[in-house]
Amino acid sequence: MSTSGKVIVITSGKGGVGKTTTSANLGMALASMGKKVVLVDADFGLRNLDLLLGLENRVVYTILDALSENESDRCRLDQALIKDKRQPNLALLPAAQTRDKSAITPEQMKSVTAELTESYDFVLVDCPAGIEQGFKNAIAGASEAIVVTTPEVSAVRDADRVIGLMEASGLKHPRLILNRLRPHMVEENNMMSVEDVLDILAIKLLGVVPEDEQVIITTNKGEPMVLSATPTQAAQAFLNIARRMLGEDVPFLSLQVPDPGFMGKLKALFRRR
Amino acid sequence: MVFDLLDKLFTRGQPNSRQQACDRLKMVLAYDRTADISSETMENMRREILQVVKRYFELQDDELEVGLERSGSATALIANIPIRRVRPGDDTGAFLATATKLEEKGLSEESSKIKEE
Repeated sequence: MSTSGKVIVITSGKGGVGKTTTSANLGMALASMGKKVVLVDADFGLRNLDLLLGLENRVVYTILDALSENESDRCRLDQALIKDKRQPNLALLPAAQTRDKSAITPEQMKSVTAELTESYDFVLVDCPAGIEQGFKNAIAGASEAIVVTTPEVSAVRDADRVIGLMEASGLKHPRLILNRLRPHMVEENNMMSVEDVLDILAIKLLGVVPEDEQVIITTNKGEPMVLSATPTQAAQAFLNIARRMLGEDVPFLSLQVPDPGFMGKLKALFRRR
Repeated sequence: MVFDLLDKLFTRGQPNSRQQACDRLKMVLAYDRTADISSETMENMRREILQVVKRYFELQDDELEVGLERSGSATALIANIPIRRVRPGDDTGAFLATATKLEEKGLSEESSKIKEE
């Protein structure tokens, strides 16, 4: 049991772009591909990864209990880990629901993630939104970073900010996941394209995930969408990203708008400016 | 449908929102990316530049203004360094000495030509 895995932080700057959904799906996907994965929720006070994974009722101890200075309160790290029953390769280390985001230090985070790499191939850290203490904690132990953004001006701006901050603290070459892309809006020139965002952020692309209502449905149920027997395009995109993380060369999904037919074309003709 | 069409007709010719997003982002990021530099870092850089420049030039006074100037999506580092003269240092001194020698040689050749005539 000395795998010496990778610690990868999943971050975005802006909230609500799909960081936690991405974390849950990539964790589940990598685990389904035979890797031992632990998801670390670094969003203190606003933990949600347990809910997205459907593990909320099984939280007993949190990362804070494993770090307690008081020996009688302290639990072992493996006691705080929740093993997923659907996917035995996957575990979750829940965040504490305390409001105090400075409850743990970057050094403590570093030692926890380092300890986890001894038994897991992938330690995925779900970073909180923002660039304050919680962000600094989340990136502290990471050797690689994934930046999630959507093709919106505010999300791209914030992504640029966290890319800069991570590079300044030695976390270089983050890779980008462009989430919630709407191909028909790009086609109508009403949304930035993959190329537009890559041109602006100047980082390497890890994957593109189309907007998908299924995300809401699977979140309602607490079942990451990659678990589905008939994966949607977005679920397939997450599975492809997981394979790229394993070093496979997987072509990017071609997110073309389906042929609109004659009437559709006619409408589009009028819509064109 | 009719309103849609009218709306499109009246907004014709405006840049599309995708392009506007790109342009606005490029502008704001040009600022964001350089907003982080601290005055301490700027001061350190100013002093280092001054040291290098002083090796080659005699300056008006030991003052050097350095600042960031932004225009559109480009940011430039602008330094304003009034100089008095080239410093006759090692390299520049050697270069000047050679140049003078050549000049003298040329002159003497010319003068000898005159004598022959």
